[in-house]
Amino acid sequence: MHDRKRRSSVRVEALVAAPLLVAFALASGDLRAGGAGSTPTVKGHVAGWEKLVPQVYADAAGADSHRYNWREPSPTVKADFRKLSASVSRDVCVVAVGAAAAPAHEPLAVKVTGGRLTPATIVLSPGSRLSFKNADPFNHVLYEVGNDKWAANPMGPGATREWSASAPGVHQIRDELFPSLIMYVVVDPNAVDFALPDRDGAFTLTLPAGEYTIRAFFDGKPVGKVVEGFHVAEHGAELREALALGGDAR
Amino acid sequence: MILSRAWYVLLGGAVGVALYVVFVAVGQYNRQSALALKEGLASDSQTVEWALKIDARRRLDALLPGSVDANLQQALVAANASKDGKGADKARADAKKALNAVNEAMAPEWRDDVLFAVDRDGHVVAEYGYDIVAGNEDFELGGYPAVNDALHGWERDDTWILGSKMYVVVARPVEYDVAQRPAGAIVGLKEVSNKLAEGLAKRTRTNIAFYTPAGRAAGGVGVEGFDPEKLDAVGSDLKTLADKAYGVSGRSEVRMLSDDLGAMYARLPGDAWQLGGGFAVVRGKTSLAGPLGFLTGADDKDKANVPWILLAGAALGAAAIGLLFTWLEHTAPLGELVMQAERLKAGGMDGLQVARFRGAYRLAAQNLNQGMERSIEKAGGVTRRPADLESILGPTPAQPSMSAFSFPLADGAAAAVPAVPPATASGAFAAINASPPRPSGPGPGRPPPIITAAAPPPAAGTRPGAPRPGPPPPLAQPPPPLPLSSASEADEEQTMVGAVPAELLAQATGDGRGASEETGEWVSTYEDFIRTKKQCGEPTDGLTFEKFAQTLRKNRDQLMARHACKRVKFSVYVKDGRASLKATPVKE
Repeated sequence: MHDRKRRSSVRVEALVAAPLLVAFALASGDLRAGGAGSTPTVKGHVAGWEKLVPQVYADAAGADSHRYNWREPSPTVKADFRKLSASVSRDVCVVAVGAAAAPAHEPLAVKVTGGRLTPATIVLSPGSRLSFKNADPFNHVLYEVGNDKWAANPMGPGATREWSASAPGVHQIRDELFPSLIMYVVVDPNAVDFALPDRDGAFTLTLPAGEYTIRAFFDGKPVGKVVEGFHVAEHGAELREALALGGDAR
Repeated sequence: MILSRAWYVLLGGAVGVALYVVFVAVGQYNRQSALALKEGLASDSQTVEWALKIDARRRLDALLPGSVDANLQQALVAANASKDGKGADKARADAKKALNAVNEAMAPEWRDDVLFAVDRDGHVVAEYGYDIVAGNEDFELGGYPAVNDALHGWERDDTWILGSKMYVVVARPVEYDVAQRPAGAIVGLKEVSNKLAEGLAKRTRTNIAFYTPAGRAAGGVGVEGFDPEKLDAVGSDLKTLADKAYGVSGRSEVRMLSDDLGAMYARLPGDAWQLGGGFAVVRGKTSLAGPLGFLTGADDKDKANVPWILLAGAALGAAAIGLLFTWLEHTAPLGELVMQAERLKAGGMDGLQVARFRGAYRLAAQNLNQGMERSIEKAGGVTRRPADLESILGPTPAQPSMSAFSFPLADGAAAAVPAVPPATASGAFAAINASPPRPSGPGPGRPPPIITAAAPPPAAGTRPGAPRPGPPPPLAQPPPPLPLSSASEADEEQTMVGAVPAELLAQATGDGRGASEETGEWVSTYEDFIRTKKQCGEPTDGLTFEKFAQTLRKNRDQLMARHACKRVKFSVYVKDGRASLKATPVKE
């Protein structure tokens, strides 16, 4: 898990202009100096996601799930590694919640392929939009559970479909043709920014100066330690202590 | 006709019983056929499920070389190390080569149609047999539970429905360092095609149709003679499949796709379970609409197994018995009637031989004889009848008359017995030609009774058995001359008694006077009596002259003692259709 550092797990394909500028500014060292007009960032990392198991896989591994004939531990794999776990870069979302309502985020691309949606959990402010893109060579039929306005609709290979966050709460996106395909969208009016950790659990939030509550979400629910009243200065901040996820999502 | 009718009733009853049995057999056959269909389909479904399970196990095992293939391991390690998890080109190329080699190394029967090499994050590094994703670097497999399990150290099978196709899937982790989690996974897919279904159907001897929610995906026939097109009915029946058992246990009850086609549905474990994919086993049902269904549904082998010899023997036997009965009861007596009628017509006989008939034919013959006699009498002719002694001897006496075998008591009509000259007809060969009865003596228009004198026995053949060869015994007293009938009037059928020895005659009368006058009368009476009995259809077996004479003697003696008469005359008459004797005392 930790053998290589790869930051590609943040699969936000369409980034807003401001975060890009912030990134460039960070690279140039302007924000680190706390220059005027720049947006401060918060760096941190999560830990303990190995103990999280997405419910869809837990269900599929059940003996009475009718999902397989044979499911056996491979004799060539050490028992320590034969444990189902979440993919931190895909299943975990870290969000900073402010005191006031946050503006909508820029559209985010969600990849539909491989029997899953990436990312699988995300926290957005109302008005934010998601763009689902079918990367498989066959159809998908996505729908939002309990929302007739976003009912099942076939998507051909390469096709995209837009979804807009409206009412606060947890929204569940599923596929009629792939039972393992599921995505939780948490709409929080005060969600200022979110981040998807990389493979090592590191994340970066771009936040205006102020106080925030920082927490992680998994399977559409908050998990682990909650950092409340975290003050973000003009020059940014860093979470010194890891956000322990702890596997208490359920 | 009793036997024939009984036989017809018996045959009718047999036919009825046979039809009843056949109808019962039809119902029983249909019920057993439906039961056999249900049990057969349940067995087929279980067999196919086991076969698929065994196949999955063997394909998982066949994938083992791929999971420990060094080239594949190195390629996946390199792909994991590459930036963004998409793998370097070299890693992709190496992985593809490794997949080809792994595929070639597999046993052909367990070789997969598609192989994927997946890195630790679930990205497809290389594929074999799935060119549609070539160049699609976004294509992943890591979200499928089977692949996710393999990436976490588990080997597992699954069933996927990708687009319009269904695949049976096996996945194993690719391990290169026991101190680390697997470098990736190797995933094998085999399309559920007609070829796969055919092979499975042949091995399990079933008829299988795989289906997805979109309809039938593949099918195979493993039962000889089953029409593959019947499997198409599975696709249309899927839309109405709302079986509770199917939803709970994954296996439906037996569903009748048509009158002669049953199916049982079973879900396939895996993603297909939740999506409504599975397989159906199908069997034909042979039901009979009626008894003729046994014939229409029979093949050459069934027909060859029929015991034709037994059937033909039974049919011929029944027919022969029926023909025999009708011959006995219809053809034979009718033939006899026709024959006697011919002889009657030709003058060979004066009346029908009643004794040669039975039942209704006998009654008819008697009636015909009586009718003919009555007609002759009306026409003024002479008929052959038992001698009426009244016409010869005069009115019967008042004293009780006696009969040797049937002694009717005389009523007032027999009170006065005039002196009647004794019948003089006597002799060993005497015979009396019957004359119509008259109250007294000959009258105008009526021919006198004809008493035929003793005559030599008729030529052989006139009446078989009646005349006995041999010289006539000497008579004690020659018969007086009597009016003889002409030769043409000689009755061929007249009863003749062969020569009776004088000793016998003497013994018969019991007076030791030899063949007396009375003895001659008794011979005539005996002949009349025998003839009359035959005409009446009565048996004459065992009635010898000796016995006859003994009876007459006994009665004669009694009457003579009772009435103090000198003689007793016996005459033959018919009473109630039977020959009887009347005894008349003669005081002369």
